[in-house]
Amino acid sequence: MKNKIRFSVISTLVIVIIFMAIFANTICPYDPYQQDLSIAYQAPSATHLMGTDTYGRDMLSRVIIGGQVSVLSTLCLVLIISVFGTIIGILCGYIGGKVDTIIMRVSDLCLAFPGLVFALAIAAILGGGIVNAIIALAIISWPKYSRVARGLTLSIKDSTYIAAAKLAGSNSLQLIFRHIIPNIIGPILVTATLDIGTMMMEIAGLSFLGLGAQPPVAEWGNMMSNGRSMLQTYPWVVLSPGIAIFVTVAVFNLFGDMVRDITDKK
Amino acid sequence: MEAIISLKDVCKEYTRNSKVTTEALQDISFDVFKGETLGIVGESGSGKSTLAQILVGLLDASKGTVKRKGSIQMVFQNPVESFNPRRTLEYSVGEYLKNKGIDKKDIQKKVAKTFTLCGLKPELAKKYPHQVSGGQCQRAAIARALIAEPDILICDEATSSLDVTVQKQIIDLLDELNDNEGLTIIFISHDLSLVEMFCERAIIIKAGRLSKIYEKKTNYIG
Repeated sequence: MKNKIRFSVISTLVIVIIFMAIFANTICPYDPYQQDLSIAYQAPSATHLMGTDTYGRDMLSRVIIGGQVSVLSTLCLVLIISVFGTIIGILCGYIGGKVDTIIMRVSDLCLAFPGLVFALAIAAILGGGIVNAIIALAIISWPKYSRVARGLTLSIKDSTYIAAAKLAGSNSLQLIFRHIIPNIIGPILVTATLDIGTMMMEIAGLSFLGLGAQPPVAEWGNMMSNGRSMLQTYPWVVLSPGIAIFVTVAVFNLFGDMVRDITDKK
Repeated sequence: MEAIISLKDVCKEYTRNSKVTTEALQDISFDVFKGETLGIVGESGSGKSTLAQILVGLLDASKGTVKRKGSIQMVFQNPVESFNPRRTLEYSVGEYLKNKGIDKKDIQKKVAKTFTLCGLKPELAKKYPHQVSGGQCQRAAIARALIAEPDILICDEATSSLDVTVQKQIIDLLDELNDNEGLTIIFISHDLSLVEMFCERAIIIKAGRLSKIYEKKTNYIG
């Protein structure tokens, strides 16, 4: 019962966050890019629940629209790396031999660099922007999935039911789609859901350093970066996106834990 | 009698970095005749399962030749592990037919018919492997092998993980299939008494080599 309530609450929060991200333009009470210097630095009030920033823009609207960039780009990134990494991992585990050796050494190289520093270097080469930040993080993050998928594929491909399926005349693609993927999808899903929080922090980190979303685009990381000099004078300018990151990352981490608990039970 | 499988000087070596690490089988030669029940007996690690996998085509021999004149299916040692845990028994048993392009309704009918032949209720087809008993699962494994209408059925320690009563039921089922359908059965086991009871002929494997061939009518277990 307790777990059911926990499941319902966390799932609802995840749905609400994704819903807000998708329909951010409709939900925003004010235009997040509309400047009005006469109301700059207003403290949180009934009119502006999270106050206003340097240019008089409504912080709540900017946090909501910033969520669109932060949440959707994170989900997009996790989807890309999980699908790509899983495909590579399955192929390495299934084919084995030189293909496996070469691809796994490439993934070792990607893992050998300190993650965020490597992403910083790539983002610096490619230039700023949320798409380039996603590319930079994707390059360093896919090996995690390929390793999980490869290990699981190796353990499954020699199982008796795969031998039985081979005797039933199944070809390699049929073996992968009918027998390997259904048996490895659980751990991959858990890794992906637990990764959402981490990736969100990394995208926000790159944006904070000026290598992610570029002004005037509202994104939680660059909103914190822009307001960091006002932490002591107008703290809501920094705290609003900060709290949004904290809450969203916490919800997705709890969601990841919950997915792990559910798949473990099975 | 017509030989349905013929092995000549079959060797199987496992290698690592081009060096032979294990010689699982050495110079194995024998024939399997149509309609017979042949036992393959040996201690654990003697190479019985390697031989079974070579016979069925899951492994290639390192040396020697294997000639097969007919289709072969196999029943594995651990019935539950031989089914995909994420698929129903119907899906796994009907996979051969699915691969042949037969439509879903016909597959369901054929699976139900084969389940009945193997002494299983057709309703069990909708269950997952962990939802049925070991004996039922092994019968389903036999059904999976039989649905392909093979000429030869290889049972690799197919009864060793089952209790004695269920073991007897499975042996009776195999006996019926041999008598009524003329199915050639290769029965691999470490249990000499079971092989003696069930098989007309038996070959003894010792440390990867064929030690002796016995026939029931003469001197069975030496």
